Amino acid sequence: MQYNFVVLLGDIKQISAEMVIILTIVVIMLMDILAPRGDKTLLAYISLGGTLLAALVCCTWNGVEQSIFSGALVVDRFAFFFKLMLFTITALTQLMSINYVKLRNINRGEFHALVLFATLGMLIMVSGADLLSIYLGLELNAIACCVLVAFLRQNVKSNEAALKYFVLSLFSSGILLYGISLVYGVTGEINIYKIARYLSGQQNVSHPMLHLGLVLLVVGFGFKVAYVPFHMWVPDVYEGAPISVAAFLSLGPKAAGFAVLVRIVMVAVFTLKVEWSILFSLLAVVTMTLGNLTALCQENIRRLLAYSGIAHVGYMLMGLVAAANYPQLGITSVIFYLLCYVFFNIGPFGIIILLCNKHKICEFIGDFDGLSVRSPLSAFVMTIFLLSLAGIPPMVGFVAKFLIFMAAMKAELYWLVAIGIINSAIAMFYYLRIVVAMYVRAPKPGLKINASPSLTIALAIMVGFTLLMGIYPALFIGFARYSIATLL
Amino acid sequence: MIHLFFLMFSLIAVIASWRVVAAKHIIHAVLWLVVTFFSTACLFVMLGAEFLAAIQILVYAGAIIILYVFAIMLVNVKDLDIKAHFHKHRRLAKLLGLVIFAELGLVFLQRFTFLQAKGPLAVQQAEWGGNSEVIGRLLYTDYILPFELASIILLVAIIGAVVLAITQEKRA
Amino acid sequence: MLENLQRLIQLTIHLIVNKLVPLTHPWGWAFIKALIVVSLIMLAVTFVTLAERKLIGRMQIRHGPMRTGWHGILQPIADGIKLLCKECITPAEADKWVFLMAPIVSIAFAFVPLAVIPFAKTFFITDINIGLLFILAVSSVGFLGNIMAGWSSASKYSFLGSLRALALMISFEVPMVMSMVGVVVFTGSLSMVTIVESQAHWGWFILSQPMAFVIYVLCGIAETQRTPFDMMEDEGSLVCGFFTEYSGMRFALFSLAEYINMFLVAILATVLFLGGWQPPFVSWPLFGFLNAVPSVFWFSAKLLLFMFLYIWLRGTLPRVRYDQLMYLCWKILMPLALLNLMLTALFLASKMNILIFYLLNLLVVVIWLSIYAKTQAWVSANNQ
Repeated sequence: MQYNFVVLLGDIKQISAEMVIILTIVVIMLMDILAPRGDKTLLAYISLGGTLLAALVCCTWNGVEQSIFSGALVVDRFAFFFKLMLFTITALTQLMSINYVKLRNINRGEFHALVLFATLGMLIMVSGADLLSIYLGLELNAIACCVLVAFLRQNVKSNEAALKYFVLSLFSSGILLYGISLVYGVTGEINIYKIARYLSGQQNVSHPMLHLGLVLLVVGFGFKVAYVPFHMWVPDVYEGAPISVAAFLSLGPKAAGFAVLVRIVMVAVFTLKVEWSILFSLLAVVTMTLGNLTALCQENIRRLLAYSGIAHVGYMLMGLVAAANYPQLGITSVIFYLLCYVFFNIGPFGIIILLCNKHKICEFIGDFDGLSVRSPLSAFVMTIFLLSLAGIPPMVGFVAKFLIFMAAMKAELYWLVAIGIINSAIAMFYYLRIVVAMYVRAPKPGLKINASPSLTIALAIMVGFTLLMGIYPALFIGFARYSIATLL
Repeated sequence: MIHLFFLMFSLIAVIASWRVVAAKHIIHAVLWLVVTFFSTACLFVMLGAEFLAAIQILVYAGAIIILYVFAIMLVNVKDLDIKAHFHKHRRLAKLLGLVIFAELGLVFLQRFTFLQAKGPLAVQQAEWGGNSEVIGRLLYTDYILPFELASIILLVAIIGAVVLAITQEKRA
Repeated sequence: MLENLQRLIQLTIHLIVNKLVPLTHPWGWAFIKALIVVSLIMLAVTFVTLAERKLIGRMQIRHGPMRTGWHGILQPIADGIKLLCKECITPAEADKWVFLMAPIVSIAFAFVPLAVIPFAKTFFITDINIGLLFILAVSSVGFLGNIMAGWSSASKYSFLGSLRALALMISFEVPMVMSMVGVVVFTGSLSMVTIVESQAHWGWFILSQPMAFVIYVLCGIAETQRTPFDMMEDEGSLVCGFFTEYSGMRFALFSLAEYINMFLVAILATVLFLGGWQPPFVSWPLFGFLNAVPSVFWFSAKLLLFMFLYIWLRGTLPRVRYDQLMYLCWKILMPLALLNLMLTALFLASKMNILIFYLLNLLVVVIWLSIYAKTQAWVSANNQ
């Protein structure tokens, strides 16, 4: 097809949400130079506004699915679902950052621009239809995130975290590229849909090079999604990074990585489902177990959240395994899990920000002692998040886990479900430990609540959605089911 | 003849990249890296991708390596014995490396044919008169999005470097 | 064992003599052409050194070398013999292999770019369709030679010299390449032969790309580390730059490489901007008789003119400060080069008359210079 200016304009119209993000970045960077020195809070609001505007623009999508930029990106329901999710994550991060960056003295234009850059990379990842643009999106995200992690320049831990994150993300992208090149070598295509078409036309797809390529791809995305054994960076980064960035990292790259993973395994190499389902079931078991067991002995809440995040990735992988036999059910459970995970996993980070002040960060479980006395409301909110993370019935965490286990049961993965349930029981312990600390122990002196309107709004949104999705999950499950209808 | 050259350059590339990892001094590693890039560029030439070869040398050997050396020289790691830091895990690393190498070898030995040969690019190359023209056209048509994304990535890298390196002024 | 070895040697000789270098084979022909080019360039370098000394002598109201031969004509040969006979000293602290390899890398990558240069209408070693890119790629690797020298000598002077040289080269490479891109946009080809031939159609590119030419010349001088931009050989502070520790033939190789690089910059200026081997006024039928002169004459005339410019600058201008140099590179040359590129693209897109483009270009240069002079005056006034 002749690629001309008119086609190009049509394609650009399809990515107008991304264009809004880019324009916002440009505005922020220019304002940063032109505006008088001093308070940069205006820039934070601009970036928040840009995100919301982009989400709005994204919602005007007319529902027509097509591939754009000669197949580099695809506009479909699946991407739409994930884009909305990413905008939510970004907006929550920005809301949580507004006050926090002032507190930590990192309130600079670049911070807000880099958050948007990272979002842009993830937007490209979730709608990427060829391995090249997926890789570039991933790299964009990784570089921006790395700088964000290092933003507390005076802090040794932040530097250490950034270095680890940087080296490991470089390493993983090297492996990923090797995987991509092997897949390209076998199939001669980098477009996911063309790879699928090629493989479905083949008599015998069981080519060792393709297997190796697939394994390397799984390893490469493993660093993003953070399943064991590629999880090493997670605790250090969550501990060292600015808290709002850690919240962002705990979800954004994970969601985008899962989107890409789903697209690759469900579309490109679905013909190899026997192979990858074995791979993912092993990864799921190891990830869940290791994440939960290590979380048991964490005193630092940020590290605890990191390990619990790893464990949750294990549950999600279980859904992916189930998807090999029951695609509809499996993928719905995975992306529903991700969707509700947004709210109850960012939440605890919000509470940590709520409790931190200029000199001290309350990040140890001991710091939460007697929070219910000091501030009953924030203790209550934290409890809701933790119960949801633990998967206790009225909360959405339960529904999500239930869906995953159901999918796995249907796929007759009884052993996997058994391990999953044991793991949930283990997880209960360390989540409830914090609840106990908040409600049973005597309060420590010096615990102060540092609430700001933006943070309150963010927390309110997260609590609201955690409860709403728990009470009325059908709506959101329906949305998840709708969004994958055309993918499979 | 062509096989002989291919063998030669690929051997050089492999040996040099092994030396990159094994070199005692970091500058030696960097110099061996140049040799690797060079022999890779020669392989590109043999595959008919002259443009890529020239860019490989210009960008990697000419610019990136020089920046590496610059950075290394400025931080002055002369007295640093790299090997000492890796001593603890050297055995394990060697073992793992060997296993992975054997795996890769097995994979490639099993069936050394590509399932699908690429055609269209060569045809376009003939039509549009040369390597660089084809790449130029493709970059501005089919691959415009990756191309622009790459430039955004570079922008982010620049902003990031400035953010991390700039000295923060203390103004009231 | 011995027999096998003998057979191997015989086979090798057989291969070299009968398969690789028969004159009928294109490779053999290329080999001979390469020999001619290399020896001629070496000869030219030898006598340019003499010319430099004589000319600078004259500019400083003295004679220059007078003793060896008639008016010192044999001086370069005497120098050569002296350097050949000198001992090559390796410092005790030096990194032996890197120290040894450095001059070799320098000289090798200085020679390689000559492979794609059209010296005359029909005389070039080879023509590849990425010629210009090839030259840039290979000559940028030549820098490695002086990093290796500077680092391996284990001497502060060498080290500082190579650091300075590196920073300079990396910076000036950018506007230099940018200025060449204008020419490439015009010709639509990277082949050196095509670039020269297309100047019969467009006229010499110095007319349509005057800004690019000026940028190129400045960058070229900086790249080859000549006065007034010879920061790395700042004798007052650095003794001799990166090859301070070298002596004898190794030293000679470095200075040879340096002079060949000068030649290369001059050759590129000739090929890209001054019409290569094309005679002047090539597109006017009135001056057709100039074609009767062998094309290699025009090429060498332009080349030597450019070399004279080099020497003249060295004799005239004082050295600039380092920060001034970086300022020049990033804040003046770089935007100018981009501006030039934009203008060129506009011209080609709008299909305007080339004469109008010449005038436009001149206008832009004049405006730029006047703005620059104004701002400089303002800056210096404010400084006082």
